[in-house]
Amino acid sequence: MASHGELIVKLEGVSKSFAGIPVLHSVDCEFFAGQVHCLLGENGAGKSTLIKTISGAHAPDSGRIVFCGQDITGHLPAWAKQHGIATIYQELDLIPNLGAAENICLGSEPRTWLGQIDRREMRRAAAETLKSMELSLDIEAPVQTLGIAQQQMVAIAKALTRNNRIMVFDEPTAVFTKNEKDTLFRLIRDIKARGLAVVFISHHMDEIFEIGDRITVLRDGRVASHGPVTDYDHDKAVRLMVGRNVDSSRRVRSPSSGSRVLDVKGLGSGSRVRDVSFHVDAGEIVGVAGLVGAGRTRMARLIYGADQRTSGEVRLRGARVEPRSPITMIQLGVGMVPEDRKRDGLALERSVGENLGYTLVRALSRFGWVPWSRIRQATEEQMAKLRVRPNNPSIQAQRMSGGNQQKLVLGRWLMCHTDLLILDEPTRGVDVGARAEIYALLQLLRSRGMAILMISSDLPEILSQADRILVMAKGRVVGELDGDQATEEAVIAMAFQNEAEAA
Amino acid sequence: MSAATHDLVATGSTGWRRIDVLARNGQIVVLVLLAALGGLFEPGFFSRLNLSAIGYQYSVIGLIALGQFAVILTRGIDLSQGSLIAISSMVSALTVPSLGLPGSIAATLAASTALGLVNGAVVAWTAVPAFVATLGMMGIARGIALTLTNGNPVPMTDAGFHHIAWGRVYDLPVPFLLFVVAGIVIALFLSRWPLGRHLYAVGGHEENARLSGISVSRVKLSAYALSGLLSGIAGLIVTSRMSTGHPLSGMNYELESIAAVIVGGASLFGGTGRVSAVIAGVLILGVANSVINLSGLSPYLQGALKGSIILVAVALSQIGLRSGRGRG
Repeated sequence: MASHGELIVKLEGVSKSFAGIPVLHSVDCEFFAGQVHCLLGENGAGKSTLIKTISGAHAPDSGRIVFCGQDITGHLPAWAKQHGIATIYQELDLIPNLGAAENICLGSEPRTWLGQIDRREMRRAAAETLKSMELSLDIEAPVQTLGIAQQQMVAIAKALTRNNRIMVFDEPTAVFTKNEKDTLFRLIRDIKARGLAVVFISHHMDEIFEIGDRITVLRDGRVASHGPVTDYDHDKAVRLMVGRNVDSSRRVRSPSSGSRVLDVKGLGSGSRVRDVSFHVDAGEIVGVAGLVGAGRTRMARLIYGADQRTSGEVRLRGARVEPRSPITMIQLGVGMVPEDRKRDGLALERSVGENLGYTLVRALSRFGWVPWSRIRQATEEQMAKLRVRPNNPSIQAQRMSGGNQQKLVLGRWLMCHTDLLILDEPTRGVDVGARAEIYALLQLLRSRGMAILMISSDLPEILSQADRILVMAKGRVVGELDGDQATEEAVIAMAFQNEAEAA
Repeated sequence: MSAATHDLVATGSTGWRRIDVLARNGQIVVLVLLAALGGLFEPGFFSRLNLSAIGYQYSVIGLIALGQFAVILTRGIDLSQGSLIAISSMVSALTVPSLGLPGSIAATLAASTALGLVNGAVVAWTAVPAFVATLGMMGIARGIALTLTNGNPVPMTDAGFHHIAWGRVYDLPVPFLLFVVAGIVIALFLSRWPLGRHLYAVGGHEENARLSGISVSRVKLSAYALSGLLSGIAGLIVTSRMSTGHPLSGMNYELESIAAVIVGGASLFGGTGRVSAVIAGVLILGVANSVINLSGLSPYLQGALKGSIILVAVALSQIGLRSGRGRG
């Protein structure tokens, strides 16, 4: 990148710590107009904190933030927003109970001469922006009723309508299909051509090489490397991020020796899940692929007792069971890690130690006496085994990165007696390094004879981890592939062909 | 866009519309049924006297319920309303000899709004939860009201003051008109003005509202100030009705206003609800109360019956929401 525009944002020696734990260490970084600047780093490396110092959500402990030549250190989100710093957070900055139109205009609503909100103008502006994004959705319906990819698009639309100098995208593609990703990249190129600076965070290397102009690699809160994207390749970037080599190749599969753990016959629930039959053996990982909305999560919730089935039967270890509620199923040795681990999987306010340790309370207690010291010891051992970082049991769970939170959730099931574990998108929003560790954990659970049912939209993940792959479309299982022979093309062909037929 | 996503949007929005219509009409349906029941079994229900009594009593509750609604929208709660009514009652009766009628009204509303602002400031700028902050104010304001005259009531000396509670315009009681006007103004404010919409935004997701450039503290201050102002107006009506400034007036009124907001379908977790439903909630409580009174039921049982009505109403609306919304 020989030619680049004006310097929009400059960070000079920015440091930040939370509760005494340093997250950013004297970081220098420059963002130029007309450039897509990619931030790379494992979860917990400080990327989110870095962009929050730009957006004003966090004030740095030391260092300076310069915006268009002006020192703005200590600015507030409202100021940043008014002056053209837009951030599309991973946790979307939408108000769930308001409609798309209101969300897009929130904080800068068009007004009539009376000071009233000009609803017609608001709807028109929102519809126009969404149309330019090739998106059609109900702009009045509360955004919580929209799919997550559409919510993400609404958040982007919100940023697009403002007169911005710099736009920060924090993992925007994590929930996107290929088409949606292509639309977003077209938008980003357009934004760039209009002379805005773009900051882009993604865990998908191919996306970074597709859209990026410059790269800054963060590791443990420090800049590990920076330069034009052409100086890097996939392996180099990953090496810099992780500080070690990561083996992402396919593992060698051994045939499952185990007995039948789960047997599902004719499972159905209205029109969303229809006549689903399959089985999972001990020591086997069965992947469930399909498009968003194919009924995969619903199917898993039926087995876990979180929703009620209308037909079919479920057998565990040969015995017919009635999945009435999650409690029933947990007692029968079934575990589930939901897609939204923040909402359903962890007590975010509580410490890491408590989140892990509570599963042990019942196992280790005798006559109502709880041996806290033994629980603490077991928890610490478990944290070391899971490589949870930071390795500090008293830190709040919500302060951990996504990958480390996921390790905690998985670790809990590891600590109690679980025969069947259901995972829904286990590595969504998880970085390369933590992802490899989660895979290692899954393989460990598998080798211990656990039966694992894994829903995933990440095809390389399913192909590398699953022994068998079920493909779902429109509520049905439309095909089964052997993990060794399956290819991405074969899975996609099945999912899409059946989607088209059904539509 | 795949067919699947289009499908998803369509079901999502029509599903929402259906719930919306149900929720909007649910309270009205209950209200009409209750009133019909009352008229059928109690001949006195639709009498001018009875309707005036409901109109007076529940205009006072209605005014503070509107303020309570604004506060609950931001995921807060205002427990100090009853005590603010007492302070307003005392201030109006004590200042009327020196300030005259308009001056005393202005002083009363200024005092109650200022105390509301104190609530808002504590909630917005400290980590004290709204429940605790306004519980504190509940005690403090009641204590001040009692201390002003050593717990003695103060006679209202201005004759004009009488009209606030007893006057009629086009045969409609003034308190009822005040309630209706406040309802319309607040409905417009909440649906049309940026600050009003921001109450919903803050209650829906406070952090995201902050990140969207909304001044969360300003929004909260406004909500609690509004609640204070409306408590002040309620205090004026109560004082006028009794021709007395009384330090024990407004006792437990905040509980009625919270009940009205909840029966009106608003969520205690903030961000949802509409003024029309809250008004219906107020009237449901008023009609239910009147029917219970007329039926000659033991006064000891009335509270229990009212409590049951609140529980059933809220349980019904929750069941409706749950079955209507479904899961993705």
